[in-house]
Amino acid sequence: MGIISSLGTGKDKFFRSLLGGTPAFCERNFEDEQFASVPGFYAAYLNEFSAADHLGRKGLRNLSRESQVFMSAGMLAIADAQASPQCWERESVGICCGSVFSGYEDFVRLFADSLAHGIDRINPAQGPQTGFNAPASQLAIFAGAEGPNVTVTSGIASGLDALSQASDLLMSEHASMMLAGGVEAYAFFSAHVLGSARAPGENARALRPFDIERQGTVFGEAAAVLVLEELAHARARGAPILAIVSGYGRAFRPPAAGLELAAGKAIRHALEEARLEPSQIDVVCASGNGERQLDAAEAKALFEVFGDSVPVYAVKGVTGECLGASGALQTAAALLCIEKHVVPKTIGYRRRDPALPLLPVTNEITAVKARHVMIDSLDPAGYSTALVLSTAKRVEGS
Amino acid sequence: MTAGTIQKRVVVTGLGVSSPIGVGIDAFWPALVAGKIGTDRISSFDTSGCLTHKGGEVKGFEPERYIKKLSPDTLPRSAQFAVAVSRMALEDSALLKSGVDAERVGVCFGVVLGNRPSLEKPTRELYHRQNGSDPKKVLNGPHDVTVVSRSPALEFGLYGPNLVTPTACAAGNNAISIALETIRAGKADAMIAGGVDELSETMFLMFNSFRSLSPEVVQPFDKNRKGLMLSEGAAALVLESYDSARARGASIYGEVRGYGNFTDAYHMTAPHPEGLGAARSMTDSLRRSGVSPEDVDYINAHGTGTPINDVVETKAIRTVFGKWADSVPVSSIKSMIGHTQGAASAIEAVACLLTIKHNIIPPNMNYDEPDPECSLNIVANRARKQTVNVALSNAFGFGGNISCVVFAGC
Repeated sequence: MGIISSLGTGKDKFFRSLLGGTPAFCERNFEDEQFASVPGFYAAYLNEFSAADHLGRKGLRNLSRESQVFMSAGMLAIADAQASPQCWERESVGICCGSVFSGYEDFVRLFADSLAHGIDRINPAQGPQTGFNAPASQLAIFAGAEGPNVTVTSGIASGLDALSQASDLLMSEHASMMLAGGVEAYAFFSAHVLGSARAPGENARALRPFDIERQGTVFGEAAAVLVLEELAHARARGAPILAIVSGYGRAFRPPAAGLELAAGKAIRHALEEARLEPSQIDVVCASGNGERQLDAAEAKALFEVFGDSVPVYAVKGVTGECLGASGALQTAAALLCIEKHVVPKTIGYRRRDPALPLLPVTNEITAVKARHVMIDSLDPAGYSTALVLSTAKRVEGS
Repeated sequence: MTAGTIQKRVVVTGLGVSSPIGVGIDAFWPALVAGKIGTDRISSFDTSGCLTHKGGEVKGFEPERYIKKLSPDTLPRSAQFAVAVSRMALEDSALLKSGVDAERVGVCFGVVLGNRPSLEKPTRELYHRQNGSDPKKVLNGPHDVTVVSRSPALEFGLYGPNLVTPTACAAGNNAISIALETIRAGKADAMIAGGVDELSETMFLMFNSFRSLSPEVVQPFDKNRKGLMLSEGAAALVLESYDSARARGASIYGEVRGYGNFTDAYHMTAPHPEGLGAARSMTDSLRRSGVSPEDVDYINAHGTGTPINDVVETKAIRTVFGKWADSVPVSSIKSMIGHTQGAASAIEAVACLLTIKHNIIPPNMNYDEPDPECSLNIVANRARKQTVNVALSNAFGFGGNISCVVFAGC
């Protein structure tokens, strides 16, 4: 895996922050000479990230920020997986990226610049970065991945949709390795949209998943890429196998019907595909992002399936709500649980909300024999995707 | 799916289209076969500062005809298109009358931008300090592209898998591929798969900066071709399993046999010079469909009309088809409707299925002078009556994303 977030660069920093860090939320002002400035957008911004460290200096200038971060996370993931772009089968390696805002900033900026400076001053090299698929395409070009190249968007479910799409492509033998994950980065226009989207009074300075005092979410920037690989292929090259993707479920329900319906359906389908009973799940890496209704719906769905017997762990209290990247970050956290046999404390969570079902949200590090971990995501537009990871020891002699 | 698994057959039972040559299949198909040119002077924004002034616009689209449950005014044009073509395809398929479980019917649309062009008007207003020039009011614009797949789901009460694939010009074929796999995997009984995009001034300015827009007409594979034209539109296909279509007595257009999906991984806008990704995608789509190059009766080309696409596509076709490259008929309907971006390969899929149904190949219009570098059996300027059982549809996107889909008669 390769992870770049407000908590730093690399999986070790990420894991250390999950185990005992504090969120890096801060305010940033975005200014623009053509438009009024966006007052302080409070979010978890990328920290100590230099694209040149991962990609070299050449050709960076025309890359959008989200392209740079996704590419960098991709290269970290490749190194972590001990894969070698120089000698891998290029046509068997593909990319799958989930995002909400990819291309958005460059798109509006291109148009705004044409108004301010004239049509002739548009930079042709910047144009392609207006594409949603720019990060995935740029990583393919940089790493030499000539397999399937897919970008998906489904709000907060984007990251898990990218991972599940990637796993489908491996299953249908369209690739033997997929770099899959998500990316989200904010700038003037996206900061404005997200800032404006807040309900009045929702001015959360902390992100408190499932907490009685939760007051909305705080957004975060991140890119997280995981290397998914066909099992025989991974074994043949002696790759480190961290976990198995056992199954996933994807659901959509209109929000008016109750978001818990979407979440419940996604989770049940994931269990069915993984051929597991709820009692066999050892940890839930939840989507909980501090939004009052969203957390309530997810809590309801989780409780209906798992009762109070499975620890529920949410990462967003320390990462922020990273939209397209969130699902991949949660999956990385799940890998931590499987590798270290612990569930971290849900940073940001202090007190139970009695209006929510009695969910065992973790409030301290707990030792857990994590064989099967459920990861779920829920978006206010009615999208939910859930994925089950199982320990590598689960493989049945294949 | 491991080797040995028998793949479920997936067929198309309904079609819907909205294009610069007609809205609805009954308008679209005759116009296509007649070689109607739908590209013209752009009226929806001012192109006077640009090098060219023509493109494709959907005319006479009446959202309220197709959108009954949702309020058309609340939807951006791309979502209006998506709902409209979904309605057409659903009615054509009679799927919802057949007692299908709505939780098992999903929606997947591909886009380049989706509803992002809706940002242009407010951005201009803000820049010119109009409308009170409060950034909050004006810039709180649409970033949520999922509206194009969600709107049809909400309009028709479809609660199966719902997704948007924003994969540039290959998006329509990607959506069809995902729908195919979703049904094969048993995660849905039917899917609406399609593509949509609205005409975007920003995209026009971008292509203008590339100097890749044609001034008069789109001339795929012609020696004097000057570039592409930007356009808009949408198309939707209803996909379901062959067994379920037969069981309910549905009318079947054809089968989605298979797809190939490779990437050039070469450059963001220029294709690989030998068409590597294209050749691989075509080859793999044929292999997965169980057809050989000589079985292909028609290639619906990506054929944008740019100097470079058409010559690279030719190279790739010649690589894959060998000696049959001289005989397999090829046409690009972008000659008539321009490049509808995310809708392109979805509209082209509709064209392929109608070609299979009617055994008439739509023409490659504006073909005046053959290009020796684009030596293919171009169906030039007039539709050709020919039995078509297998059609291959190519879609090459920016960033080198490529998706090729094979359609076959049942």
